Amino acid sequence: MNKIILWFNQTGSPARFDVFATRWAKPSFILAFLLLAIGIYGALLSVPADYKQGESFRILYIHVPAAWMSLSIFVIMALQSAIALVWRIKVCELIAMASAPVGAMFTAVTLISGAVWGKPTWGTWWTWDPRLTSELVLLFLYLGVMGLYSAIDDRRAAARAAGFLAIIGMVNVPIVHFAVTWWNTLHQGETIRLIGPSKMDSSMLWPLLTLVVATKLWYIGSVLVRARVLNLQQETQKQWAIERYGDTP
Amino acid sequence: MSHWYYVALAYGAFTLLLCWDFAMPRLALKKTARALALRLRRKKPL
Repeated sequence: MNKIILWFNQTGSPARFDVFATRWAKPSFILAFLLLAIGIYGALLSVPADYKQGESFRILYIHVPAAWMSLSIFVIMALQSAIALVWRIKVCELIAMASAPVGAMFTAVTLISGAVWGKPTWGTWWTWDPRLTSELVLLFLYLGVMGLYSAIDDRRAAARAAGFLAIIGMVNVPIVHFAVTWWNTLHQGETIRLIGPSKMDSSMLWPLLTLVVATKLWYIGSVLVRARVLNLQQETQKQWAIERYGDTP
Repeated sequence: MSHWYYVALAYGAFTLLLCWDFAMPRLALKKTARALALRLRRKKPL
């Protein structure tokens, strides 16, 4: 068998997944903490204030990475749910359901930091702008997935139902992303592009890129720990769980 | 009011939410592992 397929098959077993998640969560968090510290230092102390927005533009260094994460985590959650629905792979269910609280957290960061930036810049904490409203809907979708997953006792059925909601909720992702081009909004358009030149000066860009990587590593660490919890909650009767966690003080 | 107030507010909320995301699953993991160990200890004959 192909080595990669073999690795996927092996990691798909709950016992092996627990070992894998235990092993990789810690390095992900250590790297994330390190990059967060460097990125926040750069954002708050190293880069100069914006000539128009003054100091308040520093909020964007957490707002933009959190907004990107809020969207990409939803895509990952829907993809994992689709794989779990088609092939009934338990680990995909776990990753999808473990992603929801992390995605909700990043969406909350996006909305809060956006509101705090909006007050000195737009003169209001909140406005029913298409980008802001669709991001709020995204938070409700995350909360809906989490709520549905906790409302059903059968864990596998709960993951399927919540996964289905995540797949339907994917409709909102392009709406959030293209809201600034489809409608005439108060929210600014694209400033940073992954491909092509950005509108942001390179001297101000490095803390942002550092924080983008840090939030991605944070997500990996957090989702692994959360998936471990869900995995253990479902496997408490299994021999591997008893052997590994039976002597917890 | 200085804009630093808003910056501190945003970074404070960000830190709080990250701390919540870091701590909650660890507490849940400990709780689940402890419950499993306790169940085993109760099952063991004296």
